[in-house]
Amino acid sequence: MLVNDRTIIRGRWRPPLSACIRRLLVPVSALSVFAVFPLLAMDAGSAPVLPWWGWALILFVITIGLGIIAVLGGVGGVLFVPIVSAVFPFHIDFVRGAGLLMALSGSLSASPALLRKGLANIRLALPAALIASTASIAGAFWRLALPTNIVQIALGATIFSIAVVMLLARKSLFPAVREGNPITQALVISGVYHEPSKKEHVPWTVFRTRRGFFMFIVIGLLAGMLGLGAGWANVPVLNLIMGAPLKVAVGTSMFLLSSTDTSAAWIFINRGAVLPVMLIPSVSGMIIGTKIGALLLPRVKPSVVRWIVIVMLCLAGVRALLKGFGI
Amino acid sequence: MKKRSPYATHETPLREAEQYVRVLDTGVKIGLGILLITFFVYAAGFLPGNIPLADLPRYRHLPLKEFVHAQGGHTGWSWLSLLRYGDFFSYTGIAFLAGITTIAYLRIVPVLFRKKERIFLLIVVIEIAVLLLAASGVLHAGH
Repeated sequence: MLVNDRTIIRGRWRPPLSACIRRLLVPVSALSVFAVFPLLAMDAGSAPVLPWWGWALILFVITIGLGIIAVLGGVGGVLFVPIVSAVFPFHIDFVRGAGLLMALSGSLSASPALLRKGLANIRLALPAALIASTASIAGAFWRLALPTNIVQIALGATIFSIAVVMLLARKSLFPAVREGNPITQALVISGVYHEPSKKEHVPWTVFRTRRGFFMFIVIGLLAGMLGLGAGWANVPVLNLIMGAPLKVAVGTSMFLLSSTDTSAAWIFINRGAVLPVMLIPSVSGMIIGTKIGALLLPRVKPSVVRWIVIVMLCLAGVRALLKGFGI
Repeated sequence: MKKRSPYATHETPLREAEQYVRVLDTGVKIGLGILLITFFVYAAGFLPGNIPLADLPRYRHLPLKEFVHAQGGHTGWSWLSLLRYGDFFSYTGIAFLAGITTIAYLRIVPVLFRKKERIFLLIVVIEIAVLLLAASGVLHAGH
């Protein structure tokens, strides 16, 4: 007997099987990432125990899990580099190259829908894209000129900072914006999007543009240097500093990655830091995972996913720091 | 009643966004298609790898400089002359995906020019120059 989507059997309520699977999917995805570590660690030796397709397949399955967590946790590709560099025996240069191209593919495939719905704004994104993509080239060069252990330490420190930002960051659905910002007026940065919860079109604009655009220099440097998806940083800057509504900040951030990551990705491609055998299973897995994540999104508690992501980031951060210090 | 454009900023429809979306939409589909087809050709062994697939586990943990040396020192656009190898053939889809943003920006240049959007035109032209500079391989870095 079905009552309000809950199954009652012999007077006791039991959740339906599909609900149990949905509840288990996120923790299982998270655990799967670390569960294969011993096998992959064995494979890192001089006599690999797995054929090439074995680790390509494991990478594909894990990136499906990461894709699910990425959508539900709202952190984009930021998990890929720390997790894959922590548990796979690939050099971090290739992981970073794959991370950038994976974030780029995700951004390219999501942007058309976001632009159509007015959730990403080209006038807000363009100045930020120019600043961030220029900085990301500098970041990519910086990385390729730095010793690996320094990058691992920087990666560990940055991942811990992201976990702290996720713990402490507030979100503002519709920030109050003071009008009259000269840069906003000169560039006519404003828009309208449809808000289903209010059943109306919401007009918006931004302010504190100088401070916001300065922050994109830092974001671009980090994105290029560490190969991390920069959504975790773009969204707070657009939402909390510049005053864009949360949905516009999330959409524009996704759109921005297509420029920021393109410039850094070219540096990696030109340096030969792309392994197709690693990149293509990752991109395919991430695309499938994000699609599953999007299906699960309305049914999963965001707070549970948030905590799983924070714990995973902390574990990956510890691993990166240990690698950086040669432990 | 006039239908509201989904690209509207207040009352002004953003034609550049419409054009950008069209290029992006088509480009991503083609790019992902090329990526999967070229990888299948490589993985199925229709083309040999410059580093054979079975030998990859011996090289994947090497720092970039050593890996590129083992691969024959091919960097920049030299992969275009090595498309007979499966690993370099797979670069076709990767390079196409990385080039889509630049193509989309190029598409909106005439739109912004017609609209006399001088500041945005300048931003887009500089952005294209930055992306082309990054893609050119002119910039060098190393350990």
